[in-house]
Amino acid sequence: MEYKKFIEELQKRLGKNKKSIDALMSDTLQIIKEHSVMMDSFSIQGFGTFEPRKKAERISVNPATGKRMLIPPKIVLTFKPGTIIKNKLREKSDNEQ
Amino acid sequence: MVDLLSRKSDCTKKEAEAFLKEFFTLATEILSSGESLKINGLGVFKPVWVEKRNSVNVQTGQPCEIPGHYKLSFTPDKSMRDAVNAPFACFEAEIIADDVDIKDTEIFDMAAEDSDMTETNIDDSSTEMETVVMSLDKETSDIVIADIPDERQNVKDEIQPENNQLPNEMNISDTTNQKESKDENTEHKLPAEVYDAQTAPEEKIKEPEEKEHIEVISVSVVDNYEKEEFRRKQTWRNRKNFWYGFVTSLLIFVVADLIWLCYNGTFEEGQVTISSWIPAIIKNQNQEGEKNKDSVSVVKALVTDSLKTTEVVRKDTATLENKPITNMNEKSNKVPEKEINNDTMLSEKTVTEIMKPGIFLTTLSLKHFGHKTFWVYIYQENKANIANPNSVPVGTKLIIPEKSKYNIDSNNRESVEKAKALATKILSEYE
Repeated sequence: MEYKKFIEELQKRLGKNKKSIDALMSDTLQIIKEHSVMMDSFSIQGFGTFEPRKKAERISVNPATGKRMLIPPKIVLTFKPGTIIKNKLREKSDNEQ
Repeated sequence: MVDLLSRKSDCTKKEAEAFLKEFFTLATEILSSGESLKINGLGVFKPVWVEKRNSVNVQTGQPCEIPGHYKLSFTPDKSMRDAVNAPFACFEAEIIADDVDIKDTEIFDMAAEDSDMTETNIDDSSTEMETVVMSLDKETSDIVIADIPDERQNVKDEIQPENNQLPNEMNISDTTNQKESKDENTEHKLPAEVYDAQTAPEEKIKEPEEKEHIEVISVSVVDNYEKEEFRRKQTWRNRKNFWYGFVTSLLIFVVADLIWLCYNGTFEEGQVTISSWIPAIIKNQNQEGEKNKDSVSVVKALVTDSLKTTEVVRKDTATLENKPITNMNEKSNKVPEKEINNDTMLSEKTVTEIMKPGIFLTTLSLKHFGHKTFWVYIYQENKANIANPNSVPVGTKLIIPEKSKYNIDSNNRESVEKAKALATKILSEYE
């Protein structure tokens, strides 16, 4: 689902104007970002956990050119879904089989 | 979370809670239905189908099949990714020319191990020699002494310094509780003893008269002394030899690491620490050298002339070991000195930056020009001061050129590409 649709849906459910929701949204994201920059993991009840993780440097090969590259170390924000999402997804995959 | 949000956006807790609840329940609903969700400023959540695959149960080792399932993948937004990765933003993927880089380090490790091996071999051979000497001595102690004066002499030489060294070592370890100093000390003694054992017989061949004189003493003193102390010393020797091997291998690894750091010194911090380390090590070694000389002088008083050579040998080894390290020290000192000289010549009209630990040319470029590839122009402006763009020493003053001088424009693709091409050209010279 695209962001616009998502905001519209939220608007409908909360019964607020778009402006206030946008403000709240950006603030929420700001909080998550601040925590991630501080290398703190950030968990949201029922949704999941955002966790910044360090990745070590590594040597990889560019498949197109065959050249070997030294990929520098980096910090990546990871997300682990909570149990509710996990269970729902499991049900879904069970149904499909 | 609710607290934080209400404080941040100046709304009541109730509002914040309602918003968050709706936000995340809606998100879970969307994701649970198997749809992907994009949130601007955060990233994209996407349930991904994972095909069934065969695997092995870790505990039982039985093969089993993992059925196909959905997995939630999360890809952070660009702004979020950059914000999180800010500490490492100055690094860039680098192309390795050939397989030089990896093999270099491997070879170095091998070399270190090789030298280690030879070191231990010497150690082993010395112990073998001693045991042979000991056994010979035991067999012939009652029969003909004149036939094997060399061996006897040898044994005596070895035992008496040993007696002095053992208590000496204990004292040192008591007074200076530093492990390092003891390590250095033992390391000094190791080659000295090896030399001792080897050079002693040679000397005696040259001076037969003196040999006879000392022989008499050695027969009377050593025979009684030896049998009691013999067993103890052998156990001591075994233990000591083990520690010698261990300590020398440790030291070799430390030295190898230091050289590797010096050679590869991409980080300024590394250089600083090395140059501050080396004098400390040299001081240590000098102290140990003095201590050795002391112990030797005591030994000399007891054993007379025959040990003169050992003293010389000891001094030699001490100086030999100091030499390479002082050389290294000189090298690492030379570079910063040059930089300081050049600094005084710089004019300070334009924008200048002083290199600090943790700051690279790329970070400066990012700060002043908005893109890290433009470090090449900073380098070109300060070519005289930068010996190697991969490692600019801390404290170097850098002139930041004006944007117009090199047509620097972080939004212009051509300009960025041009800088990148220049960067590869410059870096290829330093590989």
